[in-house]
Amino acid sequence: MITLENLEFTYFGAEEPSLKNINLSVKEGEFVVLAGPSGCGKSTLCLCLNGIIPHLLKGRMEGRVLVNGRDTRDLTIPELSRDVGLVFQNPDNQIFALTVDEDIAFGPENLGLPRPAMEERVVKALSETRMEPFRKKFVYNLSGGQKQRTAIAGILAMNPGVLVFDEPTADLDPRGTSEVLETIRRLNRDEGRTVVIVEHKIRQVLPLCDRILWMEGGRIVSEHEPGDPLPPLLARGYTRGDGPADRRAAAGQTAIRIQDVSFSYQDGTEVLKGVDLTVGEGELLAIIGENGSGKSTLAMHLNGLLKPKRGNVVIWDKNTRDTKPGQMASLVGYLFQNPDHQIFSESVYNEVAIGLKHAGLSTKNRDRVVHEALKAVDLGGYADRDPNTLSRGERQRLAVATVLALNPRVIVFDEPTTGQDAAHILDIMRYIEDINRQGRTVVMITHDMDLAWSYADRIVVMAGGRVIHDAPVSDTSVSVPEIFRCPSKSQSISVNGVLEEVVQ
Amino acid sequence: MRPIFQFVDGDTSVHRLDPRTKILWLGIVTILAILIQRPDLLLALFFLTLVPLVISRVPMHQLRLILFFYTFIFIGTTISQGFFYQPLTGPPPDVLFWLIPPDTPLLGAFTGGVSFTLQGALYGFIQGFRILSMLNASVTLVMTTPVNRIMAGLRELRLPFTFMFMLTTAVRFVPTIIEEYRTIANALKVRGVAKNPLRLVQYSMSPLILNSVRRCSQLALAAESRAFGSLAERTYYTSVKFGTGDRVSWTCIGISSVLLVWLSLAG
Amino acid sequence: MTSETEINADPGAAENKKTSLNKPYFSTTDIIVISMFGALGIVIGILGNVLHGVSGLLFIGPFLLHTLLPGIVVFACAATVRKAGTATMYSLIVSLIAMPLMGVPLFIVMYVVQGLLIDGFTLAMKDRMWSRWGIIPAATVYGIAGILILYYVVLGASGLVFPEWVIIPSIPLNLVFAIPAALVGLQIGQRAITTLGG
Repeated sequence: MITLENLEFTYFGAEEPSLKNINLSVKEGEFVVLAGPSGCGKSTLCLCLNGIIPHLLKGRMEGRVLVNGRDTRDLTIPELSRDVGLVFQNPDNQIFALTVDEDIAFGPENLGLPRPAMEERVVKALSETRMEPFRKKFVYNLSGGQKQRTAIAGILAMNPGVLVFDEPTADLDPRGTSEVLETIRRLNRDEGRTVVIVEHKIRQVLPLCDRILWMEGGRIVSEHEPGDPLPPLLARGYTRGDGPADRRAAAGQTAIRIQDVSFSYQDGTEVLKGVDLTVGEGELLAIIGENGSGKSTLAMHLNGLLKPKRGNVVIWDKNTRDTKPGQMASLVGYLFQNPDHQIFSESVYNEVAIGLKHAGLSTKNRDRVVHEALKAVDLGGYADRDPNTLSRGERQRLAVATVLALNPRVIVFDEPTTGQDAAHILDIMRYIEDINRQGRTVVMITHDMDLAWSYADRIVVMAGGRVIHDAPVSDTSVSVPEIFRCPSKSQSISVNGVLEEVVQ
Repeated sequence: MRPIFQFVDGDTSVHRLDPRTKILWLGIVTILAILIQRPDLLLALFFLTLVPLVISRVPMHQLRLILFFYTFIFIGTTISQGFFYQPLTGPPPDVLFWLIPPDTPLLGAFTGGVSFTLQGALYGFIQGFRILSMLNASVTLVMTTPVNRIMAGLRELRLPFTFMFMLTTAVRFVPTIIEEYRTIANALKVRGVAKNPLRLVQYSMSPLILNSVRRCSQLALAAESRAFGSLAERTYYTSVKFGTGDRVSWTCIGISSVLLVWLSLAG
Repeated sequence: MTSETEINADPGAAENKKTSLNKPYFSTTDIIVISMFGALGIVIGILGNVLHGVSGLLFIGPFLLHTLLPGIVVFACAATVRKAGTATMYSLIVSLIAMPLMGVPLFIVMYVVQGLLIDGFTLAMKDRMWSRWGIIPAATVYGIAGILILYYVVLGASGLVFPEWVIIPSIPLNLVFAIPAALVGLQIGQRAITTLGG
């Protein structure tokens, strides 16, 4: 169905090719997974499959890509769109219309289909993605998983035989991930559509696929089937630098005390219902839970952004009720999930300096602190750069520098690893471990159960605005709700079991 | 209370009207409001524009907002014209009080004296009806028509497709951007750099704009992947259709507009 | 991720068989960028109201603050796409949505004329527009036009009169906001181009 012959592609202005000597054949009905570290070329390969390369992106392409026997160079993108559909990572960046059905119809409208044919395709796509109940809903009301399913439906409406997915679940929470992977599984198993998917969550796609291709440096390095023993990088799990025992020594003082905290939004929704939590100095705490469990809301109480309606949040000796969020900044550092929400200066130097200025540091010391902070995150030579020109990973480190420069005793990370590949996750976590070893208390909010169980001293599970589990990782006597157990260490849950449990 | 009018679901005859009717109603009211000069006819226009609003059964919270606008506008027009309106013909107006007497040093000469006159206030009050007529017609459209239907209506009025696409995409991203702004504002507060609203806005503009632009490359690829721009003639999924309500409305609008214009010209 | 790659999304080149033989003036990316700025403009337009209440009819102050933020966005949009027609398209999008939402349709005229003026400058000055000494004249005309249209067209058509000594001093006051807005917009536009990978 799709054949890549000696494919090589170099982006315009790049020195090295992003794809080198790719030879690949995907048969009809196959489910192929592409895996590999960031920058290995998997996204570029996807773009070659529906014609974006070479028609839209500048570069030099050698070799050829055949879709149903025809060279992509000879076909236009609209022509190719009837054979190959491409779904990207961020659902919000694929939706144009206001309601679900109108967006699904966008592709057919562009193809000039008559209305009855469009209606038929919209209805079919809604059914294939189980989005019928949301048909007339406005897109901005949907969850991440629902938006991504809308995007998928929009591609299905073009009726392609091949579906290509570039990290479709990277921005989604566990529920959304399950919904989307379940949809993809159905499209492949029940409808026989060919699937090529780039995914980092190997363990979750393993039971669904026919083969896994591992890419590195622009080449396909190895090929595996689900039954094969996987190479170490694929069979990932995390291992920590130090064991938790090392850190216990520092514990003793209480860094954070959350007492019977309740909180509701202005419209009355009760988000936190009597939360009690204590965090010791130097601990690495992971708060896990689904979207809507209240974990982010709780985290925003730690920096004083939100004040509890009832109860108290006390960090060391400061009660958040009596302090403005800005005053908390030197005590509690907070890293938002997306570094781009925290960066607003035109230079890396200023970005760090402004935070210090507002904390009242004198100019002389400020300069020294800025450079130290930048060096600590490996951005030493970047002081004059525009943050906008940095890569996403570099911007993330810049955000960390701005927080660290204030030398807070507590740091909160909101989803630090979402969307990252395995290698980067390891880097980030090594970093967080370093910070923790310096004696700082770390609170990490995450969806990634594997991550939480591997790195944290203690796990707190939230659901429905309450803490439903709070115990050290080492304490095996306490039972954890099934869905929150560490998947790679638990034998009693099969991956499919988790999938079916979450999707209604 | 947000100072904009929002769609309120309902099943009144005004809700069921074709969006084109309501869009053109806004256009016609705007033209009439500009053309008509006679106070009694302005009043008539105002009451005319109230009719669809009343039929659409405005809910309490939107009513409060509308009344707030009415008050604000009347106060604005009455006071400003009380000070600034000078009738071109007829006897000199009755001065109620002087704000800046003409003999005030400097200011008096510069302004020529600023007084609050009865005729000015009355004139201003009447002009309020002009503005509120347009307001009523706007509110009628916005409150009874979901925004995607307004888009369909504009499209059927033969606005070019590319422009309609841009309009719809812009509206679709408004909630996303509002959400983004809130997150950025929170991040700034947390970093302690935004101590007052002015600084908050100043610092949030760059990231807000740049983050939004950052989406565009991928959106362009997504659009192209769905064959955007491939055909000169594309088709449309949604449709609008005139019904009985529209025909009745058009008759009423036609008759009343002609009447108002004729009476206005007749002096 | 492909977010850092350069996009040359241009349907015309590949689609000659189906559409007109000319390359479309605005590429797909341009269209989407303008739409995105449009969304920003709508939010700013409404946000401006939130900050200052319903403005403009009473006295000078609130309106001038309505020059700063909308000014930044329109100039940023123009400075990102850098093609004549951008500002007008942008202004139409924003005003057709935001003004009826706030009940003041007459402001559409003001937005559109200001957009046309910026595009006029873009056409006349070409690349020289995208520098301080290019953008400042454009901002000046933008600011002057804004005041004149506000008082003589928008308020005038609403039957409201204001004396010259109110209108004329408003102009330099408006420029105090318009010119910095344009300079900030220019800078943001330059950075935005980098973001797009251009």
